[in-house]
Amino acid sequence: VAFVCVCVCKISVFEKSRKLIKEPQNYKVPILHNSCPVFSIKVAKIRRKQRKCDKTNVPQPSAKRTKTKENSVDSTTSILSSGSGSGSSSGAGSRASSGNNNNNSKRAYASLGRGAADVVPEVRLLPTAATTTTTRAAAAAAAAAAAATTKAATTTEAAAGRCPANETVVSGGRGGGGVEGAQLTKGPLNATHLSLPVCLRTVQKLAAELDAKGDVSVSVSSDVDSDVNVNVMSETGCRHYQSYVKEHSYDTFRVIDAYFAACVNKDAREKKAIHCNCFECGSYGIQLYACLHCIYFGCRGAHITSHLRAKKHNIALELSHGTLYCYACRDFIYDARSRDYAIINRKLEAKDLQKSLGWQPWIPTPKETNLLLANARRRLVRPNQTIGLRGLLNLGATCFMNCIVQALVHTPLLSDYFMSDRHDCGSKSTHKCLVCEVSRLFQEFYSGSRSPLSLHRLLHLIWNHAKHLAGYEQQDAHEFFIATLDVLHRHCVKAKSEHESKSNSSSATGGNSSSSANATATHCYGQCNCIIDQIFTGMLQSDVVCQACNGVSTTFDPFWDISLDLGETTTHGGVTPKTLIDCLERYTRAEHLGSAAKIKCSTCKSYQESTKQFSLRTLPSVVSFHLKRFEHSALIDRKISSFIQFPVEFDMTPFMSEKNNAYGDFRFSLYAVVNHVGTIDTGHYTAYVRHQKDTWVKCDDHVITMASLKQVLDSEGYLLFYHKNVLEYE
Amino acid sequence: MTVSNTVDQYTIMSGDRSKIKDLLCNRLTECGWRDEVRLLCRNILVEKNGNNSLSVEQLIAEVTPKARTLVPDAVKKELLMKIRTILAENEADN
Repeated sequence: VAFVCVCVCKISVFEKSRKLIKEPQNYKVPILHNSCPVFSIKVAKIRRKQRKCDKTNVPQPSAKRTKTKENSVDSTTSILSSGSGSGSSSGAGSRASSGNNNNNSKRAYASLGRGAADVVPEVRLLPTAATTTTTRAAAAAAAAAAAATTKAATTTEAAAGRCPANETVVSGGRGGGGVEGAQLTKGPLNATHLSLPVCLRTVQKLAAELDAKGDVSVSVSSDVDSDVNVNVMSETGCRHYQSYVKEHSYDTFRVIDAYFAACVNKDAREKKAIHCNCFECGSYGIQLYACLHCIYFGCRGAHITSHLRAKKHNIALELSHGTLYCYACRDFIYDARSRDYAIINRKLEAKDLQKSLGWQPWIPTPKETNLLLANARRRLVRPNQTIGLRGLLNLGATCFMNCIVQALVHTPLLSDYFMSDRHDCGSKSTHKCLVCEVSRLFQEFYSGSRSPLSLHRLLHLIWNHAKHLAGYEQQDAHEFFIATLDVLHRHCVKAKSEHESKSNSSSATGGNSSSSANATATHCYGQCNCIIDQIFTGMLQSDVVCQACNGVSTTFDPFWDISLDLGETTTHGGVTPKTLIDCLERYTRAEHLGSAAKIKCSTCKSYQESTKQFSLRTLPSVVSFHLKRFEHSALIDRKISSFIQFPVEFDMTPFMSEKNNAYGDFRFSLYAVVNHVGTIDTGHYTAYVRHQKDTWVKCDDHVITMASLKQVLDSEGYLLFYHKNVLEYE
Repeated sequence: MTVSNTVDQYTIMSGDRSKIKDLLCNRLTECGWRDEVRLLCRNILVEKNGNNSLSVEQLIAEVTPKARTLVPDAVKKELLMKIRTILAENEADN
């Protein structure tokens, strides 16, 4: 027990010397103890303890011991009177005195190890001071002596703790690391943890800042909250972890996680880079574990387990993912409160490095958990199940609407949006909102009912908001599609602006986004981030090249669909396109505007002949192609029924504006095809939609039949819907 | 001090290590690797965990080689490129 006095006295000595250096707040103590009991009792205990120490046969100079003892008592009281961190120093004493079995002495030893090395960083920082200050040297000597007397098992720990510590990290091996090499001098390893309270304060401060900014939804600091969490998800680790927490509190976990698992700041990263390697093999291994009982890092497998076995330590922290491991259970354990701390640390790390949080598994919030519990009925979606499919009644030549609705309902991103109930309509008049209606529609489609649905409300809303479609006449499906997107977009913007009370700038620019085409504002349509714009809006680039000066004037236009000509080309020898790719090539080909349409060139300030070329600046997640089968010319109105071959999957990269250095993946897959049968005046619309992967169905009003991919690809095709295979992050 | 240790230290220090780790996690999730491995673990548990005797270590030992082979080459390549760029930038800085 001798080291206890050393430990305490060392703190006191340290405290004193630090006072001289005018940083009384910043002294380092082994372990922060939360409780703040009556101080006098503590002091008395420590004194008793020290008397005991005096009796034991410890080979250390008695003069030094008495000296340090006096120091300790004095300074302990002085700490108490100063009020800051008093709990921690007395805590160390009381912890050590609380028991005298093997385990306890080891723990105390561990804290001593921390305490002892506490001085050493000072030595490193102020080498001259260290050699001259006798008290510090004495403390260090005493610590060393104490270490020598402890049992073999514990000395190995000390050796393990310190030996690699004194080596210098030579990171100048390559020219690259040279600069860091100077800073990476490896101090005594223990130094890193030893400033536990300091680190803890840093972490708490950062967390508080984050909290203040309102980034943290769950405030862990309040006990009420954590109680709720514990109630909702009963992840309280194992009993070993619970007893560990009871004894050590969460502080060690919090600091080690913040410094070595998710490095919350530069200081933490530096510490991790210098110290965090396996004590056995020195590797920075893929999976390192940190013992939460003492200072020890070890690789997964033999290195850490042998340590845990030898020391009878149970809890270790896996550092690459921050998972807790219990050696007694031989298993990873999950504790709700620790996880909350870990989440805060991850957020701090993300903020510090200005990166995203990365992929996070979904953890239901208490609200979501309650919702799930309240709605106990689950639906298992299997292949060959018809859920999500419903026929639509024809309300009198409304097949143009039915086929578009089928295509929209089967748009993956749109169904994700509505199925997760993301539309929050601010207006009280939800019956006037088309987005709410579509949201209801999705519920109807996935309700499991198989009877056909009547879309009278949707039709009524469209009639109200797009007057040109009103009436019982046959309408063009493409026109309906564009009108629907427009109304949906307007209602999204309206709901958002109503939601935010103050009018948002996006509603102003987004409302008439076509006017936003100027060369500088490339992405100004992006200001509106309503779900329709997120999914359907792309950007078309048109380059007008002056034939006289070769000056290029570029304009950008947002688009919701790409309309492709099918008729004979006039300039290239009357070739008719045969495939979708042909059409696209024709669409993006440079077009000579002719002598009749001279454009004023901005560089040569005169009217010149020019060529115009379209290319795709940005692509939406869903590209819809409109094959212009209905030709309206001065002479004749006719339908072009020629067969246009379209692929199931294709890459749009060749049609991009910057095809060589465009970053991203532009592969698209077909998911819906709208067909028209009949003549230009009268006819019928049907739709093929992809129900599940490789499962296609044909929707003909209220009749839904299975279809093969071949049928789909052999169909004529009027509107083709493709969605992006790989979605980028925002 | 080996080169790999130096690289380790440098990437940890600059925070790139954590960014690379995130990138890897994202890519593995995106390409479905995560789900595949999850399914793999599930199947092993269903098969062999008759009396709750399968330990984490056994599970890891069983899954690791299979999971490794499931990592798409594209992901490996992208990561390698990323690490190269980071180290090249570092070299240019000094």
